[in-house]
Amino acid sequence: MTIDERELARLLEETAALSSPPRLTAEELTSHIRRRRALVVVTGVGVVMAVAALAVSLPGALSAPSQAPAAAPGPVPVQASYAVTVNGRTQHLPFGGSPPGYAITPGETLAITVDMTIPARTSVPVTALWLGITDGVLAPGPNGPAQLSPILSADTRASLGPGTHRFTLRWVAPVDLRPGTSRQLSAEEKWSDGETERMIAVFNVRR
Amino acid sequence: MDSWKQTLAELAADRVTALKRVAFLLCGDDDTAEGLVREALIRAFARPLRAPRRDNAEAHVRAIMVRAFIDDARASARPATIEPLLDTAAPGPDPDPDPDPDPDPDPDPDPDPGPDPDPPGQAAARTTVLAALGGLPPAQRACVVLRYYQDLPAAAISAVLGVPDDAVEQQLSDAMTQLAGPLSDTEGEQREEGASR
Repeated sequence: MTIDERELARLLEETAALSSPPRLTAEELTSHIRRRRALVVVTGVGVVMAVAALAVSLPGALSAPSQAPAAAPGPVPVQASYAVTVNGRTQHLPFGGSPPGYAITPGETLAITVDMTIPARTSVPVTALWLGITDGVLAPGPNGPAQLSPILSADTRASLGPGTHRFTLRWVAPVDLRPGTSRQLSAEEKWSDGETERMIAVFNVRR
Repeated sequence: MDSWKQTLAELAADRVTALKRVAFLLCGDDDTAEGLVREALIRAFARPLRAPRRDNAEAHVRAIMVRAFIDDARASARPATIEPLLDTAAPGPDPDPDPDPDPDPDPDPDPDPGPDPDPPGQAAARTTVLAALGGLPPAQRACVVLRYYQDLPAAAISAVLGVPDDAVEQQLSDAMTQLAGPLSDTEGEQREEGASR
């Protein structure tokens, strides 16, 4: 017994049209997304193991399961805030906020100071911190960042508790950066229960 | 406006209906489909550096949606149940909701409705389609929807599901075998109805 593929396509088309018009609005979605972004990317060791188990049966699902609503809640990230100073201009990034932007020119030397503030109530210290440049991809992992290029600062034996911690960086923007593109200054924080990776400043290449 | 908000606004304005129809075929339930689309959109845009680009936003969200559907269906560890959307036994005044998302601003006042645009037999056939899809394992259902509703080639489906092309072909082959029974009956019924009118 067989079924004609064109007939199946037609039946699916007609059946799909049974669904009622969506009630979603861009405003509602934007609100949800802002709240979700405030939670930062968190990848705990347990979640990584769950993803690895899933990957055995469905390798392509690697990006989604860590956020699956049915999954157990991940570890609570250290809620650090940042103040980033680039060539004398300081902007602040509260926990969960949007990273500040800086206009840069290819070949420009950037003197960067990063002040990382860990709230007083934090009981778990940050045990490793990497700061570096990313090109659109963040993927925290238990072995440190794979996307930071170059890594501008790495402290893999840190014990950063509550308070403000200063890091001084220097980066020469590549001369071949195309106008209108961007690079990001990103930080990966690691603590006993997991890792987070977040961009803390965006460098927009002048047109 | 931030670029991601603009991309999201364009998706919400133009493509959410299409995404919801895919979700509806996947899960067979209107409310679940709505939730699936919402969650996929939120996931797609929640990561600042992985937010979809304008030129691939719909495909990106659809891929997240399909994977989430498969993951959730597997996690639930229970067979999907498809509730009949229509009571095909009892003739009602208008058993089938209007599939056209745009309401007609000037409905035809002609009292003669003319030929029934949506005969009950066809509505029943669609319910049968949902039930038949619901009988498939999640990955097979996803393959069928992506191949025969979205018209994606096996290579594109394999990219969405993260499995080799030949695995997709196998899933499709298995699914077609399983669908052949109930849907061939549907085809036959519809042909008979068409012939009798």
